[in-house]
Amino acid sequence: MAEVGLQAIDQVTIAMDFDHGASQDQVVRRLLPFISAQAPGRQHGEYEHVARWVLECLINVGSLDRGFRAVYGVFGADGNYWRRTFDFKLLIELVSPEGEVYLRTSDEAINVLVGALDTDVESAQIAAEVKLENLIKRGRLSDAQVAAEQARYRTVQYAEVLRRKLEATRRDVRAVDWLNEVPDLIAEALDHIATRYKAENAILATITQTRDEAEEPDRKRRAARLVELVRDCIRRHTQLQARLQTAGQTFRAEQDRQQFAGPPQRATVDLFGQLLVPVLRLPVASAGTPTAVFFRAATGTVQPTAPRLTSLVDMLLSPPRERDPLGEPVPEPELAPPADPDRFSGDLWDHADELLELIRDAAPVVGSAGRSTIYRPRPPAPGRLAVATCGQSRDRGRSAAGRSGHTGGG
Amino acid sequence: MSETIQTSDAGDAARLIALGLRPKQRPSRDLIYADLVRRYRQDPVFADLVEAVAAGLGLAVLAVTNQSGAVLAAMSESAFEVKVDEYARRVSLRDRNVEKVLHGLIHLAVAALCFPRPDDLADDTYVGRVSVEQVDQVVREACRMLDEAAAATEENADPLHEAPMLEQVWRVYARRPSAATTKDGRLASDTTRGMITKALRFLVDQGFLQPAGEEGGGTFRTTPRYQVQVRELAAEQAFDELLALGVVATSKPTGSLQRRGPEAADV
Repeated sequence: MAEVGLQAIDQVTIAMDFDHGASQDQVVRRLLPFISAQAPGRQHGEYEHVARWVLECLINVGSLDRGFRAVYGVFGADGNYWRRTFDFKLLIELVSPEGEVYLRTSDEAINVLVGALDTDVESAQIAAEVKLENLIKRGRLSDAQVAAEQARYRTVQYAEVLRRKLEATRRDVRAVDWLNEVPDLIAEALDHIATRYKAENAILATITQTRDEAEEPDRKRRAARLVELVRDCIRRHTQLQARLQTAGQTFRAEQDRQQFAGPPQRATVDLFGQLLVPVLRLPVASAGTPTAVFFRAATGTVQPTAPRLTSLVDMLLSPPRERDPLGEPVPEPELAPPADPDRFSGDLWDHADELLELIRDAAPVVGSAGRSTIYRPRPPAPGRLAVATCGQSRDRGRSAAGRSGHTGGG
Repeated sequence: MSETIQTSDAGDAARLIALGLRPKQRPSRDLIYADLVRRYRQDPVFADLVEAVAAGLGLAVLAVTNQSGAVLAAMSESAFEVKVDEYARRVSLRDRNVEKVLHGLIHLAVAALCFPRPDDLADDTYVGRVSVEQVDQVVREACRMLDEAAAATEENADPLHEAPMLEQVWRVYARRPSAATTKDGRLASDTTRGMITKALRFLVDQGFLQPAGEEGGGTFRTTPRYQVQVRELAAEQAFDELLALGVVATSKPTGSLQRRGPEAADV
C-alpha cells in the first residue's frame, strides 16, 4: 500500500503544471498498471477499488479538513511540557476555472518524494542541476535519470511556490508589498528561469549527443528517457516565464484602478485591514462575537413565518399528495416525418455518376458533383454506393492529381 | 407637512417598513413605495413615526433612498433577525462554534472583497464585484501572510492539543479544503468554497447581491442596499467589538493597500 501511495503522489506531481493538476480518474488510471503488477491475477475491478481507496486515504476523505494531524510533545520556553498538533496534507483538491476538481500534491508530499524535509528549493535545484550535469558527463545514465527526475520535482515545487505568490499578487490583494517584494520576486523568478534554461539546454545537448552516439539499446533508451525528462523541465520553465511576463500588466491595471480615485468621502472602516485580518488573528474562542455581530448586521432581515390558525388547520388536514416514485408518465412524442432531404434531383445524380465513371477511368476531371456525394443525407441506392464511397475516399485521402482536378473543376 | 399624527399615517409608516422587509421590492418599480419614500425624506414627522414603528418591531432604519428603498436591519433578539444557528443548520454539534465563526468570517470577507477600499464603501455610486474564487483566494492569501509572519517569529506556533479553541482562526480556515468532491460529483458544502457559495447565494436572496456571471465559480454585483447595510451597521458594530477586544489596527485613509512611488508607477 505504501508503494502504491508513493506512486500516486508521484503521478499527481508529474501531472501538475502551472495551472492544473491531475483529475482523480486520471491518477487512478495511471495507478492501475502498477497495482496489477504488484498483485497479478486479480480482477480489474479490484485493482480500481484499491487505487481509489489509496487515493482517498491520501486525501483523507471523511475527515472535515481532509488532512492529517499529528500530535507531538515538546518542552516550551518556560520548561513546561506542551502537547501541540501539526497539521499537514498530502494531496489537495482544488477547483479549476472550468469548475472541475483536480488534485495537487502538497509541499510535504513532494518532500517525501525528494526525501528531504524543509529544503530550500532554489539552492536544492542548483545542486541537483550540477549533479545531473556531472553524472551525464561521466556517463552514468541510470544515476543521471534519478537526478533528472529529482530536478523535475524541484522544478514543479518551485513553480508551485511561484504560482502561489503570483496568484496572490495578481489579485487585488492589498497586503502585498508592491514597492519591493513583487518586482523583486518577478525579477528573481525571471533570473532563475534564464539560468535554468541555459543549463537545461546545455544538458539537453549533451544527452542528445549521448543518445545518438550510444551503441547499446539499453543505454540508448535511457538517454532517450533523459532527453524527454529535460525537455519536460524546459517546457515547464517556458510556461512559467510566460506567466511572469503577463503578471506585470495585471498589477499595473489593478493599481491604476485603485490609485486614481479621489480621497475618501466619509469616514468608513477599512474592511480588509481593520476587520478581516484582525479577526483572522483572533483565537477561535474570542472570534465568535465579532463574526456573529457582523453576520447579524450584514445579512439583513428575515420575515418570520407566522401561520394563521385556519390555514394551519387546512394544511394539517389536507391528505398527503400521492407521489408516483417514477414521476409523471412521459408523453409519447409525436414525431413528424422529416422533410425530404434529397436536395439533388435524379438527373443530377445520374450526371454525377456519369462524371465519376469518367474519373474512374481517367484521373483529373472532377466536378463539384464529385464532392457533393459526400453530403448526400440519404444512403445512396446500392448501385450508386460504390461510386459514392469511391468519391468519399478520394476526397479524404486526396491525391495530388485529384486536388489539381478540383481546382480546375471549381 | 402634517403636525399631528393620524391613524392613517401610522398605517403608511408600517407599510413602508413592510416594503423594506421585502428586499427585492424597489421604489422605482412601485408607485406607492416611491411615494412613501418621498414622504419619508420630506416630512420629518413621518420619518420619526417610521423610525418609532421600526424600533418597536426591533428594527433599525439604516437609510431610505430612491435607489434601494427602506434599508432595515434587525436589532439583537428581534424576530426579524437572521440567526447564524439557523443559517448553518446542517452542522454537527461538536464543531458548531468553529463553523459559526467560519460562516461569519466568510460574510466579512465577502464584504471586504465587495468594497476593497474604505473609499469604495463610502462612495454611493460604487458597484463592487465579487466571485467565489476571489473570496476564497484572498482569505487564503491573508492566511498565508499570517502564516509567514508566524513563521518569522521563530516560535513554535503549532496549536496546543488540549485547547483547540485557542487556535487562531486563520489556521482553521487554511486547514479547511477549498474544494472536495462528494460521491455524486458535486462540490462538498463544508469546504470553504461551498460555504462562500452559500453566503453569496444567501445575499442574493436578501437583495444584497445580483448574479453577474458564472466565471470564478459565480460572480456577483453589489446593490446599494448591501453597501448601506455594511457601511451603516455591520462594519461599525464589528469594529466596536474588535475595539473592545483591543485588536484593531489603525489604518490610513487609503486603506491598507500600499502605494508605489510616482517614479515606480510608470515602469
